[in-house]
Amino acid sequence: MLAAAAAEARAPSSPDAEAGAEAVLGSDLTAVGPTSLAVADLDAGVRGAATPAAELDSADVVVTGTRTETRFADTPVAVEVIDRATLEASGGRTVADVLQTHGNVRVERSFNGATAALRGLDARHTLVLIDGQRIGGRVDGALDLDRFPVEHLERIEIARGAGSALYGADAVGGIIHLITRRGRQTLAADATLQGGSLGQRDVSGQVSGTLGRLNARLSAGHHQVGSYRLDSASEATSGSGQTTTSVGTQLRLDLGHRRRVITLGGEFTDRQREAVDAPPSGAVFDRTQQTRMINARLGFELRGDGGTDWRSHVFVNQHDDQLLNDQRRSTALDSSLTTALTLGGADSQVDVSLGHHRLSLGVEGLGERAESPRLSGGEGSRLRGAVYAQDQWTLGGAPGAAWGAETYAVLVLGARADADSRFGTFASPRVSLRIDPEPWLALQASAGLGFRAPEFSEMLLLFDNPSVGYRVEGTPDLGPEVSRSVDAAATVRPANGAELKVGGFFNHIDNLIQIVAGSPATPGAPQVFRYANLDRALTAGMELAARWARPAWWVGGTYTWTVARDLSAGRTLEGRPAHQVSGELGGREAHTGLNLSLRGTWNGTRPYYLSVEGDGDVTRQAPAYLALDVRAGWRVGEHIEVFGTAQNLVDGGDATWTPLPPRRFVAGLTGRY
Amino acid sequence: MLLRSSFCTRRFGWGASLCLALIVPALTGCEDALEANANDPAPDTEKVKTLRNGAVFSARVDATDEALWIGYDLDGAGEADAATASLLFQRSVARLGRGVEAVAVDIAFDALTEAPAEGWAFEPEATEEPVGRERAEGPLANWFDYDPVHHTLSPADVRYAIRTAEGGCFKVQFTAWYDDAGTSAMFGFDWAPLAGCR
Repeated sequence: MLAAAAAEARAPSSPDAEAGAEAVLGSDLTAVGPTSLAVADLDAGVRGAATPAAELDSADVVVTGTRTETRFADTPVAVEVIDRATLEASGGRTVADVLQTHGNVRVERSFNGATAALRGLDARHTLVLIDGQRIGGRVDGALDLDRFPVEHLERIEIARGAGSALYGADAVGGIIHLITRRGRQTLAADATLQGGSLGQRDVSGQVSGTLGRLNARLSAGHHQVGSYRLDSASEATSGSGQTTTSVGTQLRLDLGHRRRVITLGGEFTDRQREAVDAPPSGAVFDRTQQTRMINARLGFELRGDGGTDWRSHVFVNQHDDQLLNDQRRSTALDSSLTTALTLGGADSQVDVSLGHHRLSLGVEGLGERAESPRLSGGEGSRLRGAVYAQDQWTLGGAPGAAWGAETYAVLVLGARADADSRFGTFASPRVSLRIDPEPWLALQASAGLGFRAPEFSEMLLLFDNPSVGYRVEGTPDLGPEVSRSVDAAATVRPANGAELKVGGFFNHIDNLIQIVAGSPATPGAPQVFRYANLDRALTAGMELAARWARPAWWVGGTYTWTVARDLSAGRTLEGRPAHQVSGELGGREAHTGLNLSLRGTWNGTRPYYLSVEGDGDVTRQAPAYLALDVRAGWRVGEHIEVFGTAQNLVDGGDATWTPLPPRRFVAGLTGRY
Repeated sequence: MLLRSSFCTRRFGWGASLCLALIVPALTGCEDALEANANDPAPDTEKVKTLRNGAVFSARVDATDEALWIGYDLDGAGEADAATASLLFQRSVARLGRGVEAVAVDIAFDALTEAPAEGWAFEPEATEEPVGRERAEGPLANWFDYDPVHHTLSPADVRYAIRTAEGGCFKVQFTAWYDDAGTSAMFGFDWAPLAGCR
């Protein structure tokens, strides 16, 4: 995504992190453009890779690409930003809702929730962070993004490609980084109330302000939506009903001297999902899942005058889950599964500016524990430590040089070593290069290794299915999945407000973990299946993005062509569309306060393989689908906006392959102070 | 239907829950354990049931226990212990009792009136003692068809003639492996005496 509009929207001196949100209400006509197509901004004025972090405003920076606060215009590693204005304009209630219509992201909905995959890989190859920290509670290796309401978020950053050189495990296809909202400089509050079809009812808001050296934000929301059924012939629901209550906060205490800042943040989320399952056996189950999640983060930053910054964090998150399957008309198959996951860690990083070099050195520690009756011994734990280093070397264009003064070039060299109590050690280097030979042209390329750590379920699972006579056992000595990734892109800005990006990517993955048949069934023992590092796969493709934004309107789109091959089976990987197209269109009228936006994604057909009697599989092509959201708003006075949204306007999806929530209409109002 | 948990949001309403959650999120003290519907009928404690419909008997055997073999006596038309049973059931496995022979026949249940003259086989020695979760290898091993797409079992299109240790002959046709609530390992089969034995 291109960020021409964002460049205009985000004046470098934006007063605070809420600038984008205010823009939606029309206080600044130049700020209307969502930045969902943003890559490195080519029009943000002064650039310089070594811009002191202390001078940066939170609305101008990205952190994901280099793990340092970098001005959006300068980032040597392409990062897309979905800012607060776009989050609100999307009408989405959760991160999954927002990403559903975002280009170059594949959102998949299932029993386990909604997950996001990048670059033709699995969702388990996407690392999800919140304010730089990992989040526990992955299921089958992937994180349910319906867990995260957007009221706490300032923006979402997406960095594609291998990111293990900075972030370690799981950053294979890329990183989705949730950045929470900071408090404003003055007392401010906003609240949104909305309701509509499918039993949707939402109330959310935030209040923030600064008192002396303390900057605080408190946000909260309560969301309800009913379950839905796309196949009228079945009693089973296609999607769960969900009730979520969430509270989040961030406190920033500026200690003044050398800009020392202590940050305390966290979220508490209580969610209950309800659905009906009707397996072919004829049984009908009422399924209820109650999940309680606590994320807490404490950070300390010291920003030195000489370009030396130091940051340390500790974090912990607790994920408690109970899944109840209640059989109708019988208690024979009632079951309850309780899972508790604890993830905690600490990190410390120092950034030093030495001439044209910006050096970052960091150390990380991580502990993880899971308790589940499905694990051998009922529990599992692991410890991981890592060190990493990165050099952002500005080869051309002196730091702070004016735009266009000379060719701008930044080389980023990074490497990280992880040592895990389960899988041993892994080293992941990366090199990135950005060259701007002309003011209207940016070239970017990177190459690196990524890895995915085996999950507890893959290492320690013990699942018996005596009715069919098999058992699945984890393999304790599994190794990590390893990827080699290369990508390159060119971004052109032919005119003010217009951008075009062309890029390509290639990932080769070894040691993919798959279930394989172990010992066959014998009298006295069932068939045993185990996990093994066996398979290989590659994904490659091309991404196109274009955007043109003017003060009163914007239009943009992306196209992705993906080749995803299972090299072991010699066939296309399941569930990946070869073609994906997304688009957005929006505009606003200043005098009347009216605004309108459309966002949509079209995914082509996707292959799936079904086992049949005997050895062979049957290939089924899931049909293409379009997910289209429309939102219209009307600003009434200075503080109120009324709006209406139509989500999944064309009723895209189907019961079998793509159980998207059906078309629904929502109306509401937002008040801001 | 489920009995709703006494979730904080339901006990106190969402507004109060927010306050509670904010102040002491981990210590709200709300009882949040989900519970199944207590009004569902409890499983029948009778492991074996037999209904007579004219000359044909319909049997239902609860073989849900993973460790317990349930025996059925065709001569006595009811439950039997493992040592004297004509048929034994555990989960998806059906096997013959000690001294019992069987032969699969490709004749419709109603048309099968006399015991076949040949093809009779006992349970193989390896599975003669019903221990563990072994898969049946005897004459009844193929009583079901497996649907690999939906992972379901259904009775195969086959009838069995069975000769008990007492010398009685019977015809047996499996009719179900799920009960009306969809519970698996609930064997259903029809049987009737055959002429030509004893």
